[in-house]
Amino acid sequence: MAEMLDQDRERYRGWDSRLQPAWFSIWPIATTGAKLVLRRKLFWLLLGLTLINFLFLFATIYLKAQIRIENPALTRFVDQVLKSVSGTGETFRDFMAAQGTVTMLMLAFGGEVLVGNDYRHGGLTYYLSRRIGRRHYLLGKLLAIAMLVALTTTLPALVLYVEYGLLTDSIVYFQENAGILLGILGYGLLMATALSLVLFAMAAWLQRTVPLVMGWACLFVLLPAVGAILRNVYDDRSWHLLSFWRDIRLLGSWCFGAVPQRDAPLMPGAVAVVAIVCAAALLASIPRVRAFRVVR
Amino acid sequence: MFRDLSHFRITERVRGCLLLAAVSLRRTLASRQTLVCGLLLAFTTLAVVAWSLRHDRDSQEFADDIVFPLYASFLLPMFSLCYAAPSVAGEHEEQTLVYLLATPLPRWMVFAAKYGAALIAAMLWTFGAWAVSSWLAGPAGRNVLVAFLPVVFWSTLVYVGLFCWFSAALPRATIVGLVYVFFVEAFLGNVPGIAKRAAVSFYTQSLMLDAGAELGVRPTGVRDPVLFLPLAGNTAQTIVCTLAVTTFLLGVWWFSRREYV
Amino acid sequence: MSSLAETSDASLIEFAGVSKWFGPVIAVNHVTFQLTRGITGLVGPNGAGKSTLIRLLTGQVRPSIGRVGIGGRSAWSAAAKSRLGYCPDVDAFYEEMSGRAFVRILARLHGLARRSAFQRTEEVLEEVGMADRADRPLSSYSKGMRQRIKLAQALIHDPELIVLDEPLNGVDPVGRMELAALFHRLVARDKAILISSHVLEEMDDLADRILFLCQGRLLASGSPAEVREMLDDHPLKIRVWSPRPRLLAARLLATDSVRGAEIEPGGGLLLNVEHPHNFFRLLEGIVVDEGFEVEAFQVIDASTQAVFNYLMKRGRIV
Repeated sequence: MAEMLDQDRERYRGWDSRLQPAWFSIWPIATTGAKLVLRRKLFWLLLGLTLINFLFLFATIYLKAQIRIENPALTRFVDQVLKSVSGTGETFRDFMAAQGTVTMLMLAFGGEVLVGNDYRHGGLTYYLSRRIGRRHYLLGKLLAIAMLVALTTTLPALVLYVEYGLLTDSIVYFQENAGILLGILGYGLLMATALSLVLFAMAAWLQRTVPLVMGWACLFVLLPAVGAILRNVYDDRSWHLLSFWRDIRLLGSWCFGAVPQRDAPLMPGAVAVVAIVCAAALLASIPRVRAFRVVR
Repeated sequence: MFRDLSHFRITERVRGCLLLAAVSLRRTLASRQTLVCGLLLAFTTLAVVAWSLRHDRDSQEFADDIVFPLYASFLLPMFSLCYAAPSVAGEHEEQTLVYLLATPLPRWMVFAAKYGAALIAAMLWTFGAWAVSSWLAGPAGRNVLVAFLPVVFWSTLVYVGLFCWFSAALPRATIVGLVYVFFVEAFLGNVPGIAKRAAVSFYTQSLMLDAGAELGVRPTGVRDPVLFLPLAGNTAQTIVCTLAVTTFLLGVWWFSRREYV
Repeated sequence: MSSLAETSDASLIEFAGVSKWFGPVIAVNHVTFQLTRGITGLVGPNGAGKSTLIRLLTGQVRPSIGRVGIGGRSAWSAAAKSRLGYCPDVDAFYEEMSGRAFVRILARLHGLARRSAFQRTEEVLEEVGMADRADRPLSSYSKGMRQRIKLAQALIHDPELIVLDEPLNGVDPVGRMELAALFHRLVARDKAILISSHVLEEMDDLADRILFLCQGRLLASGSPAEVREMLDDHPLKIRVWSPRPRLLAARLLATDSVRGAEIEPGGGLLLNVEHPHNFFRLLEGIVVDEGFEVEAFQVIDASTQAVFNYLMKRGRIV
């Protein structure tokens, strides 16, 4: 006997045939996207490059702890030389910012795999032919990108934070520096959100690797270069706001409670720039998430 | 009406090769790459205009602030990559290479046509960007505009040869090319010692320093001769010419041998 | 072993002991055949090696062992391509171009002068039924239209050998008839056509000769009927209509050629026949000498599909 389906239900069927809300589709979309990226050998190479800095810092923290035990007399000298590795918020902020540089490269390459191919090879039609909406697809893809960002920034930072604390004499480090944990999570969330929105928008419009990377380079290399030149010309640090990456870093500093004094006046501007760019990326992404394209 | 095409004469081959180059050039200039190159040029123009707002600049500052870090190390390889990397790899990826390989054109001619199209497109941008940048930079830039033109030519030739070779040899040529640009050129090209000689931009800068010596462009700062170890102009020129020819021939050889499936 | 006797002088294509492997996978395993004028079908299940065989023939890959020749030249060489027209199975074009422009450019690349290319383009587009629709961008074409353009570019330089990889894919039934008629016209102009297809029923009407491929090996070559004849262990199924089916069945069962008989609800008599040559001589004798009336008979499983099924089941080399 024929049966009318309720068109408005938008149910997503889980593996055990229980009907689940469509929001549950976000996770498999995200994990599938992440696996697509991780399956490529080249991305393992890039991931390896992103972890060089992490390994260096990991070894340095261990070395400092070891010297503190074996040769306390040298501790002050080592602290002077390696003052960037001090277990403070600045250490982790700088580490995450440095990781972010190579992460951006990895994302530029990954944009084609994660998003561009859905447009070029018609994969988007398969997603949207399921009982999910555009928002679920969009959120799934954003989550996939965010996972990759977290893999190379937040997760290594957390490992370093735990390592630093474990190599101190007691758990007092964790009690006194709980804010650093929040800072890592906050900065990581900010980076993941901003980069995923911008990457999705650019990949949805440009699709192929070369235009995508060039567009990425314009935003993260050339625009900051223009900002740096204008800052020198006009002797005004406000021009640094042109650097989107720098603005994210400034907000990240706020998460760690470590905003440099000279950059404090730029905070409202940084918030505005990041918010505007993210909003523009989201608005640019929404019309691109369609299952069909009309060819005239 | 139709000639016996089993005797595909040399004139017909050359004509086919030129036609393929023309078609490839037209397609490549109409692609998204051109849009993005335009965007890159727009940002560069912005940077140069901002830089030139102070009127007391000289050619040395132009070279140190714009030419070496922005143009030679970034724009030159990027413009070349935009058109050279997808030349063969793009057709292979889009599965249209099969039509070209089914024609009676010898493989080396197909590659030469693709190389020619990429070279012309890249040169349009590298020369265009150079002309615009150095003109907008004012007297500081116009002073060196003509002197650096041969350097732009040879460097573009090398980069296009290199990336066309990648395109013929590697499945993900664009990505490998980008890794090369961002790591070998940007990273290795600035390390101490002779490791920087792995980067083409080192030879570009050596040639520029040589050409600009009489125009007031000297190796200073990070390009101090003790740190940078630039090569003499003749040596750098010889190496660049050799690289240009070698990369082209490597591309020809590879494309002629490789099975594209 | 081929069922047709061909001389190497007359053959346009020569596959001599060709094997091709990709790493540990043997895609084509010691295949030998020759092709002459006419339509040859290439059939086989997925993964049989058809695509690899076609790639070897069109010079996209080189054989690991053996030789692939077109008109005496290696298929890899550029000179061999001038005698070859190839319609690939990939659905890819220069999408921004019109069909007309695409075909014209390929005509020029094949060595036609500008005027000849224009003229020939119109002729070929007319022949494939795209003359009035070829000015739109290729990205707007339906699957069938794209197939026709692919075919047009394969025919543009009037090659002697035409290799068609799934040419009727996506073409509507009327279009299939039109293209089939085109293929026969081409054969009449002394062309050799190799068609790879999964639609085995089409091969019955189209192909003079079939190459049956399985797991990289050539199982059989010849017309379906000829190959069928060689499959001695599979009895041929023949349906006979007669006013007296039971008597006829009893009479035929007494012979050595008929292994089994079944009277069908519709009145037909379904026979399992060994040694078809003997059976038909016998049947002729029975009809003429003993007065049995036979209204009609039909050989059921000499079609390409049936032969293919038998060959796949047994994996025999014939």
